[in-house]
Amino acid sequence: MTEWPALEPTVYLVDDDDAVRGALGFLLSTVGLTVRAFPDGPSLERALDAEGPPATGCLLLDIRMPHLSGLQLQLRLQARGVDLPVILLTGHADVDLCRRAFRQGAADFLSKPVDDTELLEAVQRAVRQHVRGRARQAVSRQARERLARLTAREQDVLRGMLDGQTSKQTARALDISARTVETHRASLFAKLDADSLADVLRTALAAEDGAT
Amino acid sequence: MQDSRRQAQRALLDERAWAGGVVQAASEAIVALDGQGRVTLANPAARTTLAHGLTPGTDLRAVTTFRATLSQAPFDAATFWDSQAPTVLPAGLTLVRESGPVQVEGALTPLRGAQGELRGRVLILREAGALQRRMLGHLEEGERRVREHEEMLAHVSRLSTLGEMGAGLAHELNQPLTAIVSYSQAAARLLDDPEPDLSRVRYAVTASVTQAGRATQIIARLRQWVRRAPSRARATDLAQATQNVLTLCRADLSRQGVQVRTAFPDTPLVQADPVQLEQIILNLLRNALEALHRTPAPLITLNVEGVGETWALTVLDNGPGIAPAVAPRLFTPFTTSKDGGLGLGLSLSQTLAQSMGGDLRGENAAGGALFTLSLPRLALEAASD
Repeated sequence: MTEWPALEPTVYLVDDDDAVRGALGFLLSTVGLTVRAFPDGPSLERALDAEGPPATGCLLLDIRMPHLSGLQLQLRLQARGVDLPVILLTGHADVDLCRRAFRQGAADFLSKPVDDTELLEAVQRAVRQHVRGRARQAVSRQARERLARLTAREQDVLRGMLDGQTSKQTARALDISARTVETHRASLFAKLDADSLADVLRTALAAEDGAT
Repeated sequence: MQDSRRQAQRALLDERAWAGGVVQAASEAIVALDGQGRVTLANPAARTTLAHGLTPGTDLRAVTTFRATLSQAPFDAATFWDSQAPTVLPAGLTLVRESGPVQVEGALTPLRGAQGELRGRVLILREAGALQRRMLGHLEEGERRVREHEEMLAHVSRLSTLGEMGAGLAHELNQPLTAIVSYSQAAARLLDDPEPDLSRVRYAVTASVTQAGRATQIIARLRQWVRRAPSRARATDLAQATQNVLTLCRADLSRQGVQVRTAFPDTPLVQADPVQLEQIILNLLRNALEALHRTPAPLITLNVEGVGETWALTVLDNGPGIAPAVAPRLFTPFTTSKDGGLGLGLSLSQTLAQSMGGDLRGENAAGGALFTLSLPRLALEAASD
């Protein structure tokens, strides 16, 4: 019924109410999800500190908690570079809270009591988003590494290609022969492991994607 | 010609300066107001007595609060400030100010132009003298009783603060509900399995029952909190009860500039628990006050009339009236048109009224909402038994 992305996704659940934490954890575990439950933000942060980068998965944060609210925790985790998508839970879905959560980049916003189908779909979407995000980061990192291998001249030629110039136009602009341009092109195709112009463009775009 | 004019001008200026000097030197507080009740002139004594800078343009009624003693009719601020004839402050009136209350006497006198049109008013105040102070000693006994009365009624305000408590209560109830829903849905999912793990199902169901118990406790606590005192019905003066509640609300009434009109017969006795009766009236008055937030010239009319075998208290406001969407469910619990309201006030009030053998009804009347509390009449001879 539910197809989970590769790797065991982990749901990091933070709710100050023991019963709610227990119940949501129990529900998520019945569909085979790994759940790590915490009574407050700081205990989650301590766990992340001790364990290094989190597994793929998502965060499920209650908004109304003493000392550190879900919204504050969301910002603190962002500040420390935690890339897990955040699903926020609230007792009463008021428009202001909802707006604030999404403006802060929340993946989803659910009101309690939460319907199991809605919750599981939200978790699934968030985990997929996380997996996609990590995959894109990997592709982008690889693209940047490949682009770094190009010589200055090859980069000039690449820029010409990205601008849609023909070899002749590039040659004229760089004041070199069209033949030399062709040589640089062949070399950069090889370095970027590209079979077509489309492959080259994809690599260039992926590198930029990661840079932003 | 020129000379005589200059002379006349100088005489006028002299006279003005002299009059100004008299005002400034007076030991009485003197405040001149324009037609809208804004300060145009205030002497040093006024600034001291009222403990306020009274810069020109200050709305005097916004910075001046008078309080009557229990033995007096509540001070009717709206009528006082709008009076068209010289009005002497009732003896023993207290001026409430930040530096502490003080008994004052004085008067408000309209100032009229040559054609008799209202140009403004002048308020003169002085702190009450020694004789008054002794007289007021007796009144303090009354004040003490007011305080006791207010303490007794402190829990009355629980009824009207229910709305404020609503959000907290909703959160508290929502937690066990969330747990119940999740445990139950998890149990249903487990049972969908061809070979369900029954021990896990049992765990989920048991946990869900525990949380239902928690929800029940929250509701039981709320119920206790609402009806603290047991009902003690006795002969109660409906007009006096209404007057007591008006006294309790006078600060709110005058802050909102609400005019109150009352018409009560002599001693309309009903068989009722006085505290519960005042709870109902307070709830109706608070609702009316809230309905009048955006109404210009807000007015609440309270009447007690004999209707057949009952005394009926009517509370009429000139606000926007009962919204059509709310009207059919007016007395249904959790119906509310207030932000953050819990929707229990009218429902509880009606329950209380019915437990006293009476009833509470609400409808739209000419110009606003009309609530009628009717209670069985009590014959005097029955009361004296």
